[in-house]
Amino acid sequence: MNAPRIPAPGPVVNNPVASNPVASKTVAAGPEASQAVPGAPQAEFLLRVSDLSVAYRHDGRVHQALDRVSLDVRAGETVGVVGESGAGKSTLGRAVLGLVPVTSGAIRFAGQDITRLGRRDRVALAAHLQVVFQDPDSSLNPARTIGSSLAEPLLGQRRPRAEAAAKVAAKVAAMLERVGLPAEAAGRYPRQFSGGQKQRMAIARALIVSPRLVVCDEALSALDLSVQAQIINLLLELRRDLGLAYLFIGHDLAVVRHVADRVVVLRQGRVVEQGSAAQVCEQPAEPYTRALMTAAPVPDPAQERARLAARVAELSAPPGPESPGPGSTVPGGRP
Amino acid sequence: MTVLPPSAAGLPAVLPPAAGVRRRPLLRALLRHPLGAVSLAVLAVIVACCALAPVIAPYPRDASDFTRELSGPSGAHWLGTDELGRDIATRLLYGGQSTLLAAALATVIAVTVGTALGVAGGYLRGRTDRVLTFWGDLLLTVPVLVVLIVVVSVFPASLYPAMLPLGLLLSAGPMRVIRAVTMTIREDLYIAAARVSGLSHWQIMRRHVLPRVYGPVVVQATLAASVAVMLASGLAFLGFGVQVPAPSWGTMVAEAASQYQQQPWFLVPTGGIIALTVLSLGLLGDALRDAVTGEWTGRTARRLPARRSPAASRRPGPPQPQVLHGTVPADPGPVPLLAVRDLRITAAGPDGATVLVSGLSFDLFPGRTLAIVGESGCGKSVTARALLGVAPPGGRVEGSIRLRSAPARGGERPSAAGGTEPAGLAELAELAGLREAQWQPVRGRRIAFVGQEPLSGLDPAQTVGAALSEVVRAYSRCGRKQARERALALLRRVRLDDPERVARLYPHQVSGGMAQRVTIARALAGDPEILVADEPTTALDVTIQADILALLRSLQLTSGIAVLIVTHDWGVVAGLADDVLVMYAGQAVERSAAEAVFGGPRHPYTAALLRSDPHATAPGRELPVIAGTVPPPGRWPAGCRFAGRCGYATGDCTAAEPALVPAGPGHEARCIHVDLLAAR
Amino acid sequence: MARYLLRRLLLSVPLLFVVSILTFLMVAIVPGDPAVRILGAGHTAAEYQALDAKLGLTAPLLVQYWHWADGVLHGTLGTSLFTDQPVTGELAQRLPATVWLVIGATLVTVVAGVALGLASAVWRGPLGRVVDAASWVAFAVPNFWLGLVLIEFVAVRAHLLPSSGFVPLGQDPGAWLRSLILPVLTLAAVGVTGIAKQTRDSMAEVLGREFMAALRMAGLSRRALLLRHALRNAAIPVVTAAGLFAIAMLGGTILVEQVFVLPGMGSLVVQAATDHDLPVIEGAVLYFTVIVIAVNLLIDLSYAWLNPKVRVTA
Repeated sequence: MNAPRIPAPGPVVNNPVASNPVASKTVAAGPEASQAVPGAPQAEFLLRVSDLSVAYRHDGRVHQALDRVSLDVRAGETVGVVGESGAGKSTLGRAVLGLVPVTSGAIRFAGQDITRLGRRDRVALAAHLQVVFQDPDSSLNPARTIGSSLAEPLLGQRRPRAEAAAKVAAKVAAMLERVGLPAEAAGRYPRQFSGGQKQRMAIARALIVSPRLVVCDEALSALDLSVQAQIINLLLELRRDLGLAYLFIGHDLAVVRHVADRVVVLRQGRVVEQGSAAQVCEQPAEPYTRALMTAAPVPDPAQERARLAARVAELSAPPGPESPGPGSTVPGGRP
Repeated sequence: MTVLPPSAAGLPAVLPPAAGVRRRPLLRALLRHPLGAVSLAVLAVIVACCALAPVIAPYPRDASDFTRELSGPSGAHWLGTDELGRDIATRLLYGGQSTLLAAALATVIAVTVGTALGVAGGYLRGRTDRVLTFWGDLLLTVPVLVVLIVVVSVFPASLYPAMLPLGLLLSAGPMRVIRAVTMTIREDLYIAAARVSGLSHWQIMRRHVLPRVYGPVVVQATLAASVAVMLASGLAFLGFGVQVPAPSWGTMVAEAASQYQQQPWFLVPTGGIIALTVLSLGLLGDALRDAVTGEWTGRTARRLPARRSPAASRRPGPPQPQVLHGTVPADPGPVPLLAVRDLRITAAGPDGATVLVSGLSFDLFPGRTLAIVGESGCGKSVTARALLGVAPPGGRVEGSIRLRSAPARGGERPSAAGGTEPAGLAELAELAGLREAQWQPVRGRRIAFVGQEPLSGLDPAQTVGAALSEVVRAYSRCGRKQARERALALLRRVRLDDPERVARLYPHQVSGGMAQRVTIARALAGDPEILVADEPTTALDVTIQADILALLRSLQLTSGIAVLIVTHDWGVVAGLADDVLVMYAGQAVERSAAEAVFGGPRHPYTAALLRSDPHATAPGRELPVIAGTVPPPGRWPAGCRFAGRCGYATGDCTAAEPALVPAGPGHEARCIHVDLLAAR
Repeated sequence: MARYLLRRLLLSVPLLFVVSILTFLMVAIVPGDPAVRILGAGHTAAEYQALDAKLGLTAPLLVQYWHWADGVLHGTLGTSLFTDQPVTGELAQRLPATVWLVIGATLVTVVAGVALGLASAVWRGPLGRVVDAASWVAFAVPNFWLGLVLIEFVAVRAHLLPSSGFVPLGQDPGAWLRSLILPVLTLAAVGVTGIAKQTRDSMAEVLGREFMAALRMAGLSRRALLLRHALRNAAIPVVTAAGLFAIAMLGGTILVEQVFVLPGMGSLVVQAATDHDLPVIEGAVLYFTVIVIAVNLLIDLSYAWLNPKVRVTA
């Protein structure tokens, strides 16, 4: 299932790192750095996942978490990944990040094969590919200061010892301010901050190496509505200023629709549909996507009550050859 | 367009006070624990005295005073003398050296090995973990003393050689605990983030895992040490590992045992010093455990519901039935099924009771759905539970919760009859202040509850069928067979295919959607008049959520049940609710019919919350946001609790707490600027 | 279910093997020579060598172990180097006292411990604090010392019970019981309070779980909540603790038998260890290990009964 080629929407910042004083420090060159120069031709895909399969063994049974999934992310583009639990959304993100072993298929980042990287190559890649996870409470080690957590992505990079400490501290302070936190937060511990503040810190940690792609794995799901809106704005702003690309994994269709340029719909490890966010969300081609879109409640009493009434009518209809709904299946059992 | 300042950060400029430099958090937490601090001091004294025995002991180690054999305590010999007239105090000090040193040796080995293997197994998992776990299980099944005796019989001259196997055997305990702790740490997302940044396993274990297992390691060390002291003394008691004139605690008990008919006193100091040492170690470990868990989880022990429930208590003074706070319903209208007035809920906080909810009033009517909406920490869920007589840990429920007295069975529809209904809240029975046992006929039979996490709402040791049969029998006292039939009927009613099969499943075998249907079936078992649903679909996928919402709606249509749904999702509110109550920081800020809230919110918080929903803004555009976060209970500002985040706030807002004021027909808002919003 | 138990049983085979070979090696490689001990100080080299050969101590270690293991499979455990009696016979004589001691102490531990723990979970406050204090005392007091104190007060001063010795069950059931009471109490003291504490903690944990709140709000009686739901779910860690205590008490018999002069396996091990009587040590350790395996199987059975996850997936 190939992605329909859609021109990258919106202006793409050519040199993402130069525009931001915090991020402008050129990172030490990794092996792939020569291939992944900023400002490479735009036709180039930043991330290209092709025929990716991931299988787990669980209780002696093989569970196919991802089944020949293909998708692309261009520089500066946000690709949303949606689906229900067990659809493989998070597995996809974790495979890209090298956190789960890939069974078959390939992942390429800026032209370089990163499907099965060794640790040293992973360190180099970390300067370009970072992550923000779902749960802000467990995203930061409670036993370490914010500063030491934020500096972590810099650890693996080779740099002259003398400049290290002061430079890192300055970078951490600048980054904290960039995400809207006071610089003195660096000396404190995570438990002194709210969930929204911790999520800002997790974003700061991801951005401290000036990555080109950030995987957001349900990065907004644990947050309250008002805080969620604040973080959405921050992510949009950072994308605009730094030319970031996001692989944005989420289950809240409204949120994904709001931030993504393109959307990929997953179901039971397979890509059901992908296309521009407007097309997938407003004119879904596949019945499953349509079911998903109409299931998501909207804050409009007239529309939502009509939908509910239709479903209730379905329920009261005499039991016919019912197709077993998703609620009546035995759990697929995510390991 | 943006009403509220969309400050990018949206954070209060002031940070909570820093806890200072936490160099030794554990020690400090321990010192706040009196028993732990005393134990630590006692241990320090024992260890120091034994170490300094040559300096402080009143007599030479083996000096005999044949004039005073087996004497009791005296001025010359504080703790008396043994059968050879040697000073017991002196010999206890010297004896402690070998005993404590041996125990320390075993402890160091146990903790080092246990921690290393526990961290390795818990972090690396896979084959390493399986081998290590098997090894640990093996060690736990070895009768320790038997092995030690074999070893000391081989090296009879000293206790120390036996301490190596003892340390290894004792390492199984720390290993188990550290492995379990490591396994939960391993799932923490900062570990994944560290791996993404390319840190090696070794770096991750050192940077992230070790600092977090530090607390449990110290706890395990004290436990291992107490066992080691006990076993080292036991070996010496049996006569192993000691050279005759040299004293040791265990040998001295043995000597005392042989003399107890002449001088029972001899047993007291010898056994006492061992008991004191072991006790101090144990209490220290216990205090450390409290300090460690308090440090990271901040969890307080849950309490059992007491028989005479202190949770709910009636407020002094007779309830005033006719007086409604606010104006809903504006006219005497239909009598509510449930009337809540001035609800106040507290929980045990770090400094006394913390108020979670205050001044909350609302009504439930048959066949109607009231949605309580708000962000986390605003008091929605505790309110839902309070309606079933459950207070937060250590807390109380005050105010009035009144339920229509006559149990209206079946599908009685409310309003149509109109005039026959006697007006007034006096008809309602007061629930607040009932004892635990008195709540029983209300719970499940008149008011039923459906919770947020469907799977954790079911007893893991019971099949679905047994769970339903149990409540059916509790409500109706029917036979087993009848209860089973009724259980199957309930499963059919919540539209589960193949109820016979589902009834045989255990909770761990069903999906979240199925489990939520089962908890709904359980809620329906008592044919209740009110269903309280606390975020019933938050943990579910959207398609399943849609099914569950439709199920709730169709059940309500067929049975006329009143529904109270707690949610944070405006979409759920839009679909289900007839009436809406918006909560902020423990109080109602807006109350009205659903259409009115969506059409024209009159409280700035409601308005801002609705606007910050992504549905309301074009994709990719900046969302209008509310700055800051909901203040937690105990930190509510004076005056209007929302003023600090409100774009309309003026000086008057913080002067006094605003009341709920009318904002339209059947519409109230807690804001002195209601008219400003109406004008928009 | 049967497969699950079989798998657990198979896992215990390596335990038997490892423990026996370790014991064998440890005792065999060390200084301290049985032949020298038997002969005493004045003996000739020839006498020594003859005895050494007779005892089978000249063969290489592995061969010695092989002989022993081969014997085990044929139901013999060799003969004692000192008494020349078959080890099986010696152990058979000593087994009853130890087994009764452990069974009695385990029963007392579980029954009294769970009852106390449950009571203190339900009526927190004073009783909870008493259980807490008692468990600390029992934890800290060495059982060999506790035994001595019990002898002093109950047997010597009050003459209520015998201070030492063991009467076989077949000989006089009343005297058998009286002879066991003090040793069993001494041995069980730590366990009773430990299990009580474990029961209370694990009840408190279960009572805090969401499903207990849900069942409470479903209007079940307090009795049903506590006994049918909380206790059953709290039982798993209690069973684990009971198993560990049972094994610890098996070792504890050595000290208790010494204090109460009971003719059990523990005192036999102490004697054999002093004498370097390898076949007896090996045999006793083998018996101890078999008892441990039996205890573990019982634990596994209870897990399967208590935890549907084990039962259904096995």
